Amino acid sequence: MTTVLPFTDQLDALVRQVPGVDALYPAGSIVATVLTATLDAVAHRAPAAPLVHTPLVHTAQQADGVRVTAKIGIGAAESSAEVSARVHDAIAAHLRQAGNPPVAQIAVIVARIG
Amino acid sequence: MPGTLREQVASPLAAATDQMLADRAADGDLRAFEVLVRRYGPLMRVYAIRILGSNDESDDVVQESFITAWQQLGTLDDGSAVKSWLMRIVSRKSIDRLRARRQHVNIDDTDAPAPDHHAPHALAEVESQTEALARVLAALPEDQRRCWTLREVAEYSYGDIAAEVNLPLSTVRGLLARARKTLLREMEEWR
Amino acid sequence: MTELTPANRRFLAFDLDDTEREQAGLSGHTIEHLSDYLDRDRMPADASIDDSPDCEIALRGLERLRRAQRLLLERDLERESRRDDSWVSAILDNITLEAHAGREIPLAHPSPTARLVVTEGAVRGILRETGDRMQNVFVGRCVLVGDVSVPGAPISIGVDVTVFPGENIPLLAEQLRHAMYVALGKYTELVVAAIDITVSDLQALPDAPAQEKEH
Repeated sequence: MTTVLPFTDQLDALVRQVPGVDALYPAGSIVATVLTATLDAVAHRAPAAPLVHTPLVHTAQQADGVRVTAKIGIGAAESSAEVSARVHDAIAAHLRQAGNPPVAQIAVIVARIG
Repeated sequence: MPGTLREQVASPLAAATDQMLADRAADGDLRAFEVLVRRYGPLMRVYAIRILGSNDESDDVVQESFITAWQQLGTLDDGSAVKSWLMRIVSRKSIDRLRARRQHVNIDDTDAPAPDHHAPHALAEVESQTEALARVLAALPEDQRRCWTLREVAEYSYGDIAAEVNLPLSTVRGLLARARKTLLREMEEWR
Repeated sequence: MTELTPANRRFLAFDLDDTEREQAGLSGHTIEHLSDYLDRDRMPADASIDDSPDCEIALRGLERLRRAQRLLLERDLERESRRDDSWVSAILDNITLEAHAGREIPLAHPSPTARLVVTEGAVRGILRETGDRMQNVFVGRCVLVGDVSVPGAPISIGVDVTVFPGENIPLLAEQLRHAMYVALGKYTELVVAAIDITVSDLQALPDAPAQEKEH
């Protein structure tokens, strides 16, 4: 179940601003699934344009609380543990300020280094 | 975005063997994959154009082929065979397109990309031999054209062609002989 | 060469539907035979082909066809190679890192709701980068062997490396191994028990890489 939560708009910008974050990638599996399905179909037309309007940081409201997933690329000079911890802490602080909802998980995936 | 082109600098990757590039691309190295795209993209497009004619579909087919290749590179056991593997992907996607197009237009076995079949004599003076060859190729029946393209563009062995088009070797040989005879006959006309 | 072709027999050899007429016009051979003969560079020599004027004419025709095919392919490839780069970007913009992300390797964090990971794909990327920063070394496939998803579980790394001729292979392998340990320590919390480097000599490529296992 995926719901667009009120604070999600700001999460992309927030994560991008964390020192050491070089790139932000779509974290929702939906994007990948849609893209793959489109391309694998016996297409009668050009593949769909990249889906850019979905927020890249993925958020979902589930029974046990909010789940946030951010997929990032970091600079070669950075430590993945430090940058991912900074991203986590920034998201956690943002959630506390935005009504402090129960948090089930904040996931940070370092998908690319350098 | 992960796909952003990097500045084109003389990288050792550009000189790397197919095997090295395929191994690295299978591990997720986008730069190695980009070198493969540049190395074999033009040949794949020539292939698609031979099968589909020169149009947007040929572009789409090559693009889809590379996206499939990126996703499935891990299944390629022998990286040095990446060229024929890529040609197989573009070959299959081209045929899929051709079939889909035929279902759409609902025409039968006549071949779509062939231009108007002008009398060879009328064109002989204005056409170069290569242009004439391209025109005759486009007019070949689909099965002959497919075997010919696998042989002459993708450089497949007769056995590999038979496996790819799922026909007995003798049939493939017959189709290729027939294609060559047609081309020879037409070439006699151009002289 | 055309003067050898009797005008009234020109198309006899290329009859599409009548194999008997084809053979009659080609001294018992077919265009298929002759094409195979050319594929073999006319070896071993077959006198029944070489001594037949009809076959010779057909062989010249086939050779002319091959030249035309080669020219056509060259012309097409040149045209395609001259295209601007937008088609390359169109492809690269549509592929995702997803396909090669591999397993997730955990990074420690005190919060129980935190799940911090670095992907296997990212780790392979930094192993390649480490090699690329060294001279005369080319890193190929990298594998992480062991359960990387369990914090603290010892794992090993396998790396295929190509080394340029004339290099001191044991020395290079040692330098590379050291640099990779440093990189793994910086970007992951993996407990790396061994980095196995398999070296191929560039000269031996591409056919049969002479492999030399380095530990």
